[in-house]
Amino acid sequence: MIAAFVLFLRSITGVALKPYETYRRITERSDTTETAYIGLVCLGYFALASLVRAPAFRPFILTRQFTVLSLSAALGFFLLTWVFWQAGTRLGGRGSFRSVAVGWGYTLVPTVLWFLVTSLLYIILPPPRTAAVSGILFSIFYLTFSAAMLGWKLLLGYLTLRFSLRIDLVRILGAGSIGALAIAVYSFVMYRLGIFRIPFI
Amino acid sequence: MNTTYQKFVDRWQEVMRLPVQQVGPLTPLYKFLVRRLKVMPWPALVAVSAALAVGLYLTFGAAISLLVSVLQRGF
Repeated sequence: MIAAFVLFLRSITGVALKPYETYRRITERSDTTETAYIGLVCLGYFALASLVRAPAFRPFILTRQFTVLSLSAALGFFLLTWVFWQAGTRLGGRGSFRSVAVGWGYTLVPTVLWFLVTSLLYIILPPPRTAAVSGILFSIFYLTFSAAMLGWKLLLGYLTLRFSLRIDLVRILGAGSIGALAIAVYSFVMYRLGIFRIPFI
Repeated sequence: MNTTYQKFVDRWQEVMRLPVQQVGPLTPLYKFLVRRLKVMPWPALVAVSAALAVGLYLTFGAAISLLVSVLQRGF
C-alpha cells in the first residue's frame, strides 16, 4: 500500500510534468490501487463540496449530498471507461478495461483541481462577476485557468486512449466522438437531476 | 542474454507495440505540436488558454463576466 502510494504521488507529478512518459508507465502497470487513491482524493473533494453546497448544516443533508455526489461521479467514471473501452476495441484497439480505467482515472486530476479551485473561489469571491476592470481581469484569469485544465484533461484523455488501447489518431478521434456522445447524455441527466451543473468527468 | 541487450529489447518492444501516428500531409505539423506537449506542456497550455480567454474578451467584451458567473456556479 505504501509503495502504491509513493508510485501514485510520482505519477501525479509525472502526469503534470511528463504526461507522455508517465502514461506509458501507468497503462503498462495498470495498478488499480492507484485508481483507489484518486477515488479517495475525489471523495475528499465531495466532502468539501457538500459543506459548501448544502442548504443547511445538518448531518443528514450533508451525508445525503455527499452520497449522491460520490455515487453519481462513480457511475460516470465507470460508464465512460466502459464506453471508451468498447469504442476503442471495436475500432481495432487492443487493451484491457483495467488499463483504460487506470488511465481515465488520472484524467480526474484536472477535473478535481478545477472543481476544487472553483469551490474555493465561490467562497472567497462569490459570483456574479461585474463588468468593472477587476471583474474583467478576474474573468480573463479564470477563463485561462479553466481552458488550461480542459486542455490538460483532453491531453490526458488522448494519452489514455493512445496507450491503453494502442490506437492511432484517427481511431482515437472516433472513440473520442463516441465518448463525447456518452458524456453529453450523462451531463444532461446529471443537470436535470440537479446533481452536477457541470459534469464531474 | 546480457542486461544491456535485454533493456534494449524491452524498450524496443515497448515502442513498437504502438502504431505510428500518421496524419497524411499534416504529419509534420502534428509532430511539431505534439513535441511541445510530451514534456512540460504547461507553457503551451497556458499560452493557448490565455490567447483563448483574451480572444473571448475581444469578441464578446464584458459579456465574458456572465460566462464566468455561470461557470463559478457550475460546481
